[in-house]
Amino acid sequence: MTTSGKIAVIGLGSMGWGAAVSLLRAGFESRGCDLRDEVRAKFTAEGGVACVSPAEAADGATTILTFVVNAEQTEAVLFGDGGALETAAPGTVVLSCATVPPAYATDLAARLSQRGMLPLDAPVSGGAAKALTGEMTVMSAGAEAAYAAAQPVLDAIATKVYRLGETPGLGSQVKMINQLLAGVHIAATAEALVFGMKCGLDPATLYEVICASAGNSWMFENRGPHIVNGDYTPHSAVDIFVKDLGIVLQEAGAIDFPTPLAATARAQFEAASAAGLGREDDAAVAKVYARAAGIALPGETD
Amino acid sequence: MPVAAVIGLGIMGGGAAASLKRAGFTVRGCDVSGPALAKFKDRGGIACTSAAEAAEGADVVFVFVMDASQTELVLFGAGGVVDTAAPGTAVICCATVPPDIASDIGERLAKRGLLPLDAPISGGGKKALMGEVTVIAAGSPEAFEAAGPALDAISAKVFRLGETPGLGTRAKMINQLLGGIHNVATAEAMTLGIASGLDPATLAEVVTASAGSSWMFAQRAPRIAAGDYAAPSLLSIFVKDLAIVTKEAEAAGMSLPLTEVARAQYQAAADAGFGGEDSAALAKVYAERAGVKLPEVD
Repeated sequence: MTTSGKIAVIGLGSMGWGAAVSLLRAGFESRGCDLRDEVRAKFTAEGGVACVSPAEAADGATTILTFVVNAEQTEAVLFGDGGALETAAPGTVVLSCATVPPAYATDLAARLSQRGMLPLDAPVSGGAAKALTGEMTVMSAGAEAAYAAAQPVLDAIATKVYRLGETPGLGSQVKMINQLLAGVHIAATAEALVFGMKCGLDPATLYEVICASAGNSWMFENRGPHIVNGDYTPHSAVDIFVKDLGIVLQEAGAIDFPTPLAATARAQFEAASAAGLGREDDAAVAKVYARAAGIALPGETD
Repeated sequence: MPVAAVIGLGIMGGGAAASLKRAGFTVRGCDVSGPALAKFKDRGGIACTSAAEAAEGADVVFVFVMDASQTELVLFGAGGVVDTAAPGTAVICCATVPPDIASDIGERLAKRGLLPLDAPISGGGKKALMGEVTVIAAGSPEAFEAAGPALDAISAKVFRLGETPGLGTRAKMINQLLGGIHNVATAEAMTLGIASGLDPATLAEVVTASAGSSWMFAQRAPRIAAGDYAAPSLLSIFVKDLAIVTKEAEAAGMSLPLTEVARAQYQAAADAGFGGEDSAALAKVYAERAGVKLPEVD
């Protein structure tokens, strides 16, 4: 079965990679763009069309998905030099999938509309494994026409597409709340497992107990094994949560809403980043706790 | 037929007694409450007037009382278990107590030739009645062996945390630490979402299906969205449990910044008079500080 159409995926990190591969599997011509040579080579080997610039990827595409890290990069890959808008034809659907401040998402969509594009504010969730199997969750907002045009692409990459309204920005607002919880839960996972080890508990057994109990969270279940096995290969980096919780604090601050848990969790991620762990997996926030507590984590020697 | 004694026949103890009976144990039980004891008798149990009487001739003794002081009383007080329990009897302590007290009780029972298990339980009354609770236990291999058939009768899963009594209670404490933080995170996230103009029911649904979800969020976020604060789980219980966590952390010389924030939010909620409501009422403290209006029951 072949689905027709060229789709541009800009940014082949763990989520973008999963989307690009899912689109290939669904029969699209998937055009992937990434700065890293080795990632482009790997994508070519998968059967995709590897592109050096967003403009090249977007040439002839019916849909463009941006899976970069933040608002600055989203801006650059769309409107910057060699950006997608240099080649994108009017009527192209543009899904902005990075976690960005809600106000930016609204503004971005307005400018894309002015250029004749069909914007969707479409941040995603679900983790790298779900992305790879085309089972992401999308928290989206945009006009009916954009959804209609994006439907086959959304079907290929996601099992759950939440439509939160017609105004771009609503998707990013919900994503921001999700990130508040996710960030707090990762830091809580680290706090709990390190404290457990400090109390003399075996981390693998403790992990098993919590997963079967009311203290469980999606993040505990997903990131706990990274700490228990001492594997900090980055699936999502510490610095991502420094950024995402930064968005939360900024947005909450703008409406005078105190968020003490989010602020405390961000301080822990910032401490990890300051200790040189910014590009490790976000579970490496456990190292901040372990050093303060004077204990060695699994995989570390005293 | 093996004999089990159950001290304390409340929701959890009563359920365990019924499960033991079903598994073929002769069950001897006691409780200060007349109705609880009568119900136990109706289900085929042998009603006793003291812990000592219940423990006489038992192969295994379960303690299902409320807290540390009651555990102390039924084990070592007048008419307590140690008066009659034969050496080699497994004594399974299921009440939630501070970890150092669990360790201390274990040591004192062992000195008397008994086989102690530190064994807090997770799972509600329904699971207790079906013999499907989760046991988070620590104790010697001999204690686990002696208690094996009885534990099988009451539980679906037994976690073995180690040989030293106190480790089971510590694992349970870590579970409470996480649950407490997750409840506060739920309140912080839901109230911020409402303050930013999001529909709370939609927000609860989307996040529950996403990576930001937790067991607690899935329970509590819909309650906040519906304005329903009737208590299936008292907010004040976490005020007590987080105090235990904080005290243990101090003793261990470890700082727990998220737990501290969560505890302060719980304390603020209790001080504002919400201790008798569900933990979802933590949202009211956030709403008050930010001047946000929360949903109310229709």
